[in-house]
Formats: sequence, structure tokens, C-alpha cells
Amino acid sequence: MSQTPDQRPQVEITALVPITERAENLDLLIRQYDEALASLGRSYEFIFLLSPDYAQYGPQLENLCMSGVNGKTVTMSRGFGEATILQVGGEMASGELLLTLTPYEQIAPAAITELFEALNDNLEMVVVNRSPRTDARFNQTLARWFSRILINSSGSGFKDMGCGIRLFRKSILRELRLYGDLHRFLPLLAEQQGFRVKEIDIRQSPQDSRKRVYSASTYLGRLFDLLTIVFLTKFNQKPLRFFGAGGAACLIVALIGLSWVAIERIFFDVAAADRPLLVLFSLLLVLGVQLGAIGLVGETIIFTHAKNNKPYTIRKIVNKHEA
Amino acid sequence: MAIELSVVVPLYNEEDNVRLMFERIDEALQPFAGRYEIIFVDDGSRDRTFEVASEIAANTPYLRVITFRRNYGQTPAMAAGIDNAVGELIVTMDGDLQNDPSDIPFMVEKLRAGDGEGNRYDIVVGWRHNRQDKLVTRKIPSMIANRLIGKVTGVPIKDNGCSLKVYRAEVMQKMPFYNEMHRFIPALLSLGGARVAEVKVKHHARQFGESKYGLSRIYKVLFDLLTMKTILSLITHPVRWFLRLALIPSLLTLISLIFVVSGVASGETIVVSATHAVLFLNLTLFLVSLGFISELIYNKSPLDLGEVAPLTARLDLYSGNTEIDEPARAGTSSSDTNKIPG
Repeated sequence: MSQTPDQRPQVEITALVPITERAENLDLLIRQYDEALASLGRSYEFIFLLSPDYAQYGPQLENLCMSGVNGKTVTMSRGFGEATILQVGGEMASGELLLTLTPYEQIAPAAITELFEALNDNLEMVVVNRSPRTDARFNQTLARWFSRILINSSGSGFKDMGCGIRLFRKSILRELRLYGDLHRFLPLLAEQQGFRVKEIDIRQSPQDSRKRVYSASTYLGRLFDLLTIVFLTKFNQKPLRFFGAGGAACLIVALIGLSWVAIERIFFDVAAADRPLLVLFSLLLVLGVQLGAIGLVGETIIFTHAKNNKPYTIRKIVNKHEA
Repeated sequence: MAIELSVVVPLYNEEDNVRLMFERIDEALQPFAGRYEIIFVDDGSRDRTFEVASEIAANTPYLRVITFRRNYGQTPAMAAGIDNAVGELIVTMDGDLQNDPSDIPFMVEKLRAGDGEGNRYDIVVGWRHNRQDKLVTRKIPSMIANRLIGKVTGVPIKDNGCSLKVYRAEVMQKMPFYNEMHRFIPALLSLGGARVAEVKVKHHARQFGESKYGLSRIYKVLFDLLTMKTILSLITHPVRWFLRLALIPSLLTLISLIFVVSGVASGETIVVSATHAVLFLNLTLFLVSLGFISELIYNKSPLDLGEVAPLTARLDLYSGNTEIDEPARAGTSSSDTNKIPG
């Protein structure tokens, strides 16, 4: 496919394949994806986004693009997070519908057509919940805890943030600010911005069920991402409530403790100068003040940027004023 | 012709009220014919509010309709309306027909006339003096809230919860606002030195739906308000603010050091006092660092307090009292407007 951009036919669907993780049977998988997309009878293209750590897949993918798969490969110059890579892909995409695909099988490739069936005019995004799941008990348990924490803290109902197969309109990428590893929470962030997102159940692929071992740092990273998203979704606009609650708890305990030590010193003649308890309560006092002060700084950041971060998203304006 | 008035009305599931609302406002604003615009902000309604409003807007070029992707709440809805307003003055009001648009001309006149001593007003707020709501669940909580807000800000506005207000657009559009701040915009602006007048307005009983204001809100409102007050005093001189705060732990460091010295002199154990000295020194340095960080944050931020600062500069002029005025009844036939059709 060596067409210049102006000759290229109008493309409806752009499939983004970020290659930032292990890839398995890439050739076969891409061909299967290609078949599934072809069966939709709509025009589509592939964009393969390679992080520099996985640049070795470049030639293989370029070969695919030469031999029948309508697509191109992009190799990032530096190891940006996957979210950034997706943003780049979104900007290059000519389709208005974006489909993200994983370089390994999470669901049967043929099943991606179900996402297109589920998408209608009232939806902006369709995501997959791999169900029933067939992978290792350990992974399942972890995933369940992950989603439970997320559901409890954000109030959204998404069960599977780990599935990278998602279909959405380009406008979502335009309006959301994705960075680092936030792409994992794309459905959640999109829903918070008022986009309508639906999660559909698709059976997990047996390929995805094989035992995998990630490094401890990967799991730790996921945990940090989770904390980030909980903070961003719950306390985005009110950092002082987040820090202030902890700070206030510390202060209250400290003040009660300190007055207890003081009363014992004054009325019961218990020497305070060699009591470790005094140190503990003073420590809590300092911690409380520190947390509160950090909250105030957070609040300052929100305040100074409030005019730029609109607290709403507009779907449409009728009779818009043209300046 | 330049637009003088922008009327901003947030709507949430008000399909029954929209058309009536529009007609009422339109009728009340006839003195300003050709010089006003109406902005309906549909706050993610799940009924046909947006469709109905759009139908009216199709034949009414001066009606703008903004619709949100989802329900965000009243403050964001008002913010969106204000951001998209082009008038010199902005009027905000509830979308449930509890406020009466016929009060608007008088309020505008009041704002323009000033206090009669050459000082102009920046905000005129409505006071629902004969409020048509339930006593225990609505009126008493809001009375307590108003008292507390008055105490905190030093501006005794009787009715912060009344949505019917007239602002100068320049004052409003410079103010960053978020959370549930619409509840105390006047209090907030007057903290910044804006001049506020309060006038009595009509209030009708709610026809449809339930209101959400309750006792639990007071705590949140107060917390937000205290936060805002702190931030406003902090933001102009972050280093100075944090240094002043750091005075306390630095004093405590000194005291601990005295204990250390006297302990060494008398041969007693100094572990506890020495630990305290280090602890408080740490807190002092921490707070000083935060002061510099805050300075950096403000310095690099897009917010230009130079725009808000003139408000603060006028604080001297502000007498600290709001003025209460009876609306002039001459222009409107109040016997008609007090009744609710349907």
C-alpha cells in the first residue's frame, strides 16, 4: 500500500495497536484482526505504534503492511507511556472511530465485531469485560480486587480495566488529557467527562489464560496507578478535603494525647521530659500540620488553574456567539 | 447593538417549565428589547429539556442553549452560562420558576444607580424575604448557613442561596470558581472587595420536583468557604503567609533547644527535648519550603490576580453593610406576577 495521503480513500475505522508489551504470534494475530475488520464491510486502517523497547517488531509489521494489511508503523523515539503513544496514534488516525487492539490475544480476534454491533448513536465508547475469565486464579483474584477498589471509590461500574480492546469515537481522545499510564482508565475518565460508555462481556481467549509472570514492579506500578486514579476522580477539585481529613485526624489524636501528657505532668507529677509518648504525639501534631499545609498547596494549584480547567464539558451550543 | 444583559438560567429536568420560563423572562425584559440575551444551560437533563429549549431557540436568535455531556451541578452550569455570556451585566436565576423575572429590571436599575454617593455596585443579590419553602428542612438550615457565612466573611448577606442576582460581567468573568461556590459568590466577591447590594425579591412555591438543599450542605459550604478565605489570603503573598505560620514551630524549636541546653547543664537525659528540637525545626523548614513552592505555583500559573486585585483594593471603600431596598412596584403589576399560572 503505497498511496499518498490525498489518494487514500476515506477511512472510517482506525485500529491502533500499541506495542508496549509482550507480543505473541503477531503476524497471525494481525491477520486475524484484519479478517474480522474486513468482515464488517467498512473501510479501515491499522496504525502500529511501537515503543522503542519493542522496535524489533518493526520490520515484521512493515512486511505485513506491504502484503495486504492497510496500515503503517510508527516507532516512538523515546519510551513515553502508553497513554502518550495512544494520543500520537489518535492524531495520526484518519478514521473517526478508533479501535485499540492488544499485540497479544485477550479475546478471540473474530469477537471484535461484537464491539461494533454494540456501538450505537447514543454511545461514544464500547469496552470489553473479559467474562467468563479463564486465567490463573492469582490473576483473577488480583483483577477482582483491582476492580472492586475502583468501583467503590469511583462509583462507576466497569469490571475490567485491564482489557485493552476498546472502540471509541475520536472526540474522546481530543477532550481527555491522557498521560503516563492513565490510558488503562480511559473508560472511567471518559465517563467522568460525560461520554457514554458501555461495557460488554466477551469470553476471555484461552491464549490470554496462560500463566504469566509479571515483575513485582509491574504490580506495584498498577497499585500506584490505582491510587492516582482514585485521587484524581474523587478529589480532583478538592485536595484539601483529601489531605485535610488525614491531617485533622492526626491533629485530634495529637491534641488529646498532648493534653493527657500535660495533665499528668501538672497534676500527677509524672515527668514528661523522658516520655516517648510525648515524642509520638508531637510527631502526630507535626504530621497533621504538614498534611493540612500540603492540602492548602493543592488547593492553591486548583484555584490558580480554575479558569482554564472548566468544571463542565459541553455537548452542544445552539445559537453560539461567534466572536 | 451591544448586549447589555445576559440572563443565565441553569436547567435540570425542567421540560415542563422551559417554555413558560422563556416567555416570562422575555416578557419581563421588554424594557431592554434588542439589548439582552438569554442563556439556557441544560445540565445533562434526562428529559426533553434540551429539545424543547432548542425548538424555541430555532426562532429566537437571542436565546442560546448550552447542553452538557452529563449532569454537573448548578455551579458548573452557571459557570458555563457566564463563560458564554456577552452582556455587560449578567443575571443568574433558577430554572424552576421560583424566582420571578419581573424583579430583574429593578435590580439592574439598582446596580447602575449605585449607593447614591458615587460608589457603584458590582453585585445586586435577591433576598427572598417571604420565602415559600418548608420551614424545617429548607428555611432553618439556610438561615444557619447564611449566619455562618456572614460571620466568616464579615458580609451579612441575608440570603446567599437566592439564585436571582445581577453581576457586572467583568467582575464575574475574572473570578475563578468551582465546587459548589455559587452558593457564596457574593460573599466571595465581597471578600475581594466587590460592592454588594441586597434587594427584596418575589419568591414562588416550587411547582415541580424536589430541591436538594439540606442540613448536610452547611458543613460543606462552610468548609469550602473557609478554604476560599484561606486561599485568598495565602495566594497574594505565599512566602509571607507560610513564613508567618512557620513562626510557631520555630519558636517551639527554640524552646526545645533551651531544654536541651539546660538538660546538658544539669546532666539529665535530653533525648526527648532534642527530638522535639529536630521535629519542630523540620516543620519550620517544611513550611518555609511550601511557601516558596506556592510562590512558584502562583508565579507560573495562568491566573492573573492583577485582575482580581483591583477588587481587593476597593475594600477600604466598602462599608461592610449591605443595603436593603424594596423593589419599585410602579413598573410591574405585582398582583399578577405573584400568581403562578397552571
